Amino acid sequence: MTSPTTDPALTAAIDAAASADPRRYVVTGGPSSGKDDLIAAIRTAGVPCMEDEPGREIYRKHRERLGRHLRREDRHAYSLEVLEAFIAEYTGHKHGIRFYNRGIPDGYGWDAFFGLGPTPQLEHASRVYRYDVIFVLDPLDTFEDPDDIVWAKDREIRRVHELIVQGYYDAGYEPVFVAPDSAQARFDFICANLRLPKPGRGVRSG
Amino acid sequence: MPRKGPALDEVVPAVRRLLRRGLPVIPSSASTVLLDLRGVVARAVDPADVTSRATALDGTLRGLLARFPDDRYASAARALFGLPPAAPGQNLTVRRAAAAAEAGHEVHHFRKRVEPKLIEKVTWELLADADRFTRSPLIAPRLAPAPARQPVQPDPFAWEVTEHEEHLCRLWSAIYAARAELLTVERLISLHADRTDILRTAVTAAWRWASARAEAISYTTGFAPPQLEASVSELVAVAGWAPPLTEAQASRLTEAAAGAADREQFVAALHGETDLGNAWTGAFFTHSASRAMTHEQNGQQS
Repeated sequence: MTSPTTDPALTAAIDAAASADPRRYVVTGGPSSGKDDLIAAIRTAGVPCMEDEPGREIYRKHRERLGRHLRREDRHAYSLEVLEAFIAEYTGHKHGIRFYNRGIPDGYGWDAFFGLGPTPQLEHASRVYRYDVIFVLDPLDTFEDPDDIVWAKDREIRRVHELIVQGYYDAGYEPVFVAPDSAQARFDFICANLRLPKPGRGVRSG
Repeated sequence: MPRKGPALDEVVPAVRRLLRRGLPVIPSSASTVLLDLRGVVARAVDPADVTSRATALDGTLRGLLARFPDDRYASAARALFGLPPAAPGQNLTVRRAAAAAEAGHEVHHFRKRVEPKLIEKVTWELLADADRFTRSPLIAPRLAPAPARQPVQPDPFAWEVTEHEEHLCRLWSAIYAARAELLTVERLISLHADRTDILRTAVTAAWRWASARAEAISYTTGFAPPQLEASVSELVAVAGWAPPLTEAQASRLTEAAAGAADREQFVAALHGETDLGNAWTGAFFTHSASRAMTHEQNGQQS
């Protein structure tokens, strides 16, 4: 496996798109989907990309403020604050290509996971702020082997993943699914899908 | 409580019926058996609403077909259900022809030999998806030796899911601890053990039972799905029979257990609560006596 590096052809394509209308691509999926590795690969390749999803820091802040775990009544407040951060990320991008570490409709997955209905703010934002392509990373771990022990946590993580996917369908997207593979191979797949040069091979696809 | 999922032979005809119209799913094209699948109900924004469930079924099928686990026929399966290269609104004959072309088969061969297998495969995937959505806090989490360290991904979903399992483990730990003490009380009564020993164990059982109730409240407040919100008593009941208490008495015990680090602190917190103590411990003897009487009467009748 080659490590992702800056590719001249890809850099040229990104530069060429830099002054054009914004193109927003979401990378999402449940925990254990390899999202962080892919985001790192995208950034290493010099492609504009959100580094951390805003939810992490907001979550830490909420935990610190509450001094305990989030309860149902806290989770709407959390998801609204995350939504605001995602909207700011969205509207802050004016030109060229940018990848997003999760997107606004991930909020549907969060709400559904906790048995909460989506907020009117989320529904409104999902209609107004539209992304161009959604890439869903399917989980790296599979539990198809009947001999595998599936921990409660692992089961729940799979459930989270499916609820995130449903959130994007609910928001009117047709996500592109990215099969489990190395971060490099996944990034190549994504670039091929977007008609961008594949950084892993240095060749132009499509 | 866990519900039995539908069988393959119930879902296959429902998928076949849905196929006539294809995607997108509308409420009238979806059978109840499909709309009741756990994965569909769990995805629905409003599980009580048929339209919402139909939307969830539509998303489930689209996601499933987009990841159809058979490369040879994935494109054919998508076309058959109305996804590209087919188009929404096309009738089944047109979609079938597109699917047969994708699979490289003559259309009649496809309809007779391949299509039933694709329907069955979709059905299996729907049932597997439903199985992933089975949730029952009334079943203790399954444990096994961890072959390696299991780091938690830095992700709010992963943090929440992990904390959920932490609470679930604490809940079940407390329920089993309560069960152990309740069993001990019953065994000592059966052994005609010294009354002082029984009373001491009954107090320990009260502490464990109340601790389990406190954990159940904490769990249901933070993590249980809304439909299980009222299940604190149901959760605690799986520890076994416990003396009947009023809501106020149960709350008082729970409050004392929640604030106590050990049995001694629990007992100290309830110092002077004679009525409550009698209600708890006395019930074991009353219950035991009435059970012995019933047993004796049954013996006389036989």
